[in-house]
Amino acid sequence: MELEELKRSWLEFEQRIETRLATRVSRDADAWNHRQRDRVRRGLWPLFWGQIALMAFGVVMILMAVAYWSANLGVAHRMAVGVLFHVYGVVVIIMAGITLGRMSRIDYTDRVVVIQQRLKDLRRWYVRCGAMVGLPWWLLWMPFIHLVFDLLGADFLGNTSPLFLWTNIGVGVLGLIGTYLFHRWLHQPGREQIAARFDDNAAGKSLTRARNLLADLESSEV
Amino acid sequence: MNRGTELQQRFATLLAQHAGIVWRVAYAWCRQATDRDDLVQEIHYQLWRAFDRYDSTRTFSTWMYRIAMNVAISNDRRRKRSREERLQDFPEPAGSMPLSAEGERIVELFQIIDGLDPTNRALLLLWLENQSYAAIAEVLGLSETNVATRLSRLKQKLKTQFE
Repeated sequence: MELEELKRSWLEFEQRIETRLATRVSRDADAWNHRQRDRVRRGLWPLFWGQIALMAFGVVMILMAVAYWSANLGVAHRMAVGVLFHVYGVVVIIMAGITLGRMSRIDYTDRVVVIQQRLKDLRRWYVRCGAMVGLPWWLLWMPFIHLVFDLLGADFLGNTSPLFLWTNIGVGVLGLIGTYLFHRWLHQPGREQIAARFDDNAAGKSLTRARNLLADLESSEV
Repeated sequence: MNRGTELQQRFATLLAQHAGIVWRVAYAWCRQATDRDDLVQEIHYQLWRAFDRYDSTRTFSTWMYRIAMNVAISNDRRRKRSREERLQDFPEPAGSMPLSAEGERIVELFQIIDGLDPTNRALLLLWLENQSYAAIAEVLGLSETNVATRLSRLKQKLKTQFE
């Protein structure tokens, strides 16, 4: 072996080291990418269990409603209350089912932008769904209390004054209008930051964390 | 961003750019993968400890060589190496047994490196890395004339060995 040959061998060795380092960097990046996707998937578990709980709530609502309207077949307004909550229970179950269906359609091995789009759709649906399930309670709470008390053998509405009843209906209607106006005000130009904060609250921690994790992943892929 | 985070980021960037140096020094001093990994880790640690004293007007690679060599030499003093173990684990691409012609030459090169004392090993490594006499002098704490003399002697010795 000559001195120049030593240098050539060293150069060859250097290239091998660089190749090995590049492979290691790419392997580390792959492992991180995999871990990040797994964190997104695992991070959505609370949302999954939340939907299961919502379905259970819907089932309980249906059972109570059926018990109520079947015991009051001859009394129109009581039957109406029972049917109202029966329908509400069915709607809650359907909405939770659709949310679960949308969650199950997310393929975590897909491209980040595709997962992001699916999560965006899920988030939009979830916020809308939350509003549809939650907002009616501005008014629903009264017939619901009436139904529960009635099942327990007490007459809630019969023992309240018409003033109390109408005042609470008025508060409920004002609450609904107020929520609608606040929503419109929030989405005016210039209020993007505060709107985003409210949207994050409405979407819940799971979806917001998943969105942030995917943003990290996306920036690392650029 | 606070100063600590900024320093960490600067260090990580420079380390990533010059990672090969640390590994080449580690390969020149350790043959077993676990020893090499330990040495790389120790070099990284010592580099980080010294980083806030690094003068950015000087070449980073030279500063890195100096610390890496010092750590490797002290590490070498601490541990008894077996020459045989150094021949077992060259960075040959996976599934390429028996060794290719290049692989054979690399093994031969490392046999030569193994036969040298720590100073000559460091000297040869820096010469193979095409470092200037001035840079070698800075890394090893010798004068340029001394580097030139030692290198000339080393080359002569190697030539005799090749004959």
